Amino acid sequence: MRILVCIKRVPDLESMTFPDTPPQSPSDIICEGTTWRMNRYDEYAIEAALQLRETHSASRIDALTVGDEDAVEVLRRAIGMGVDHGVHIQQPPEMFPSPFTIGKLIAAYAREQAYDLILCGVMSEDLMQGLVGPVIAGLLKWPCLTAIHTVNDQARAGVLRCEREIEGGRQEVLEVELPALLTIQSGIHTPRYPALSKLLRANKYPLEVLPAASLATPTGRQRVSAITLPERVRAGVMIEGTAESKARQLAKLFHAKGLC
Amino acid sequence: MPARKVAIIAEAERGRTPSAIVDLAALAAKLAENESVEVRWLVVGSNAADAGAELSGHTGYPAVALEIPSEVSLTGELLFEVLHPFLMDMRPDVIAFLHTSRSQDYVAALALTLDAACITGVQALVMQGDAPVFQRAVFGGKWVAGIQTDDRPVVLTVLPGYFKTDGTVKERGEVETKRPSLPATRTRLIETRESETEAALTQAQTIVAAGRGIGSEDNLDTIGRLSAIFPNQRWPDRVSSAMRVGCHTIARWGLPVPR
Repeated sequence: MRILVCIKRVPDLESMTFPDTPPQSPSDIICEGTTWRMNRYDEYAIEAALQLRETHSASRIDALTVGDEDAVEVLRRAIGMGVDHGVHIQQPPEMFPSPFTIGKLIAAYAREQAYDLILCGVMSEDLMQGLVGPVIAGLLKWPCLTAIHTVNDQARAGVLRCEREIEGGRQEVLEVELPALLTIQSGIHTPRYPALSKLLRANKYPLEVLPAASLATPTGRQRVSAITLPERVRAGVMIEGTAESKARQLAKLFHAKGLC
Repeated sequence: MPARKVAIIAEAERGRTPSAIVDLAALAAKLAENESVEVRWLVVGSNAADAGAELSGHTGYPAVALEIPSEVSLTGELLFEVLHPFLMDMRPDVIAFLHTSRSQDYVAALALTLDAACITGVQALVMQGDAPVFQRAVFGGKWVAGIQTDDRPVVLTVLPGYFKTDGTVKERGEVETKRPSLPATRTRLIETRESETEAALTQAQTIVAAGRGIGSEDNLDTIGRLSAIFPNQRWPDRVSSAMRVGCHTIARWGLPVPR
């Protein structure tokens, strides 16, 4: 089975500062001191691919990212986790790239590679659109299942059985014929932490590098025209004082609201 | 200027649609505050005509019911195959879906087919001159991005609870029933089940939420002890996992679990 996992380098939200005034332009969003990491949902996608390889030892897993030179660090980490090959599509940095442009680039690469399965994270932690995976599937005319937390290939050859949570606290079990694209939600298998020795080896691994222009032309379709602060719908209550006094105030608050 | 055409997609199972679906009519009404709009429900699924009649009765908008026998399982792939010929004929300017896992499976494919833009998780609509700007959360909800599509049609998935109808009773619109042909698909719904251990967030009487403020995962036990003082306590089984991936995991995909 040939598997492609699409990964993205994102700013670590915990390292970002969010001032009370929105940024003047998208380029002002990232301030000094922001650290970057692999999108966590993409880590789950890599883990799902590695779990599938454990039942298909002949499987090969490629990881692909679109971005500038710095994006390479997430490919190195993916290889450290156990991915076989890394593909870097070089694209100038852009805070809000169109999911159609990114999807088109990845689909153009994947179309030539005879993959059986493409995995993406359910969404990126920064832009939260969850669209790149479905766009790739749409361009390749493959079936797409989103927000999958469990994948197994034990049902029949060429078929994956997938589970996901749906609205109302229910679970949906689906089967999909390969080739297919799945977007992976945080799930049962915690992404493995790469050993230092594997990370060091990954640093020497020759990546496949392709300029974006060699694959596809940009397709905007939509643009971010403004960044604003979310509407404040209710204010929080700050409880001050010693631990004992705070506990008393909290208990009083619970009683007042009829919570206990 | 011709009226902006709006198609609202509703999935029906045995004549029932999610209650939040009427929120989408409120989005259409918001568009209508600024311009002339022509709204139509496209109800797809089993007993779609009944569901269409009910939605049309609530909102006054006409409906097209695309009947799919109840023994046929609704998958994103099937819904794409059924809907896209109708949408190609209708050529709506705005196509609105409720934001669900299933709609996420195929809205992008529809957008590609219709040469449309696609915006997911829409939670507000503002007008900038004559142009609608659709707003959605970014960066964990710390900021809101306004997205424009210029003159291109747009496929939207709308988060439930952000648009509210005024509740006034309208004159029921017409309901037209169609029976689309059903192509073979590569995805199959095996089962939908109530989770053995999980309950919906919406069923909880009290929700105890914790974010980064609790400091570390070690403090989750404190939250568990806090939740224990409430009646009918529920305690999230995967909360530690959710901590790792950020609080929006719980908010978007919610998994509170009774123990």
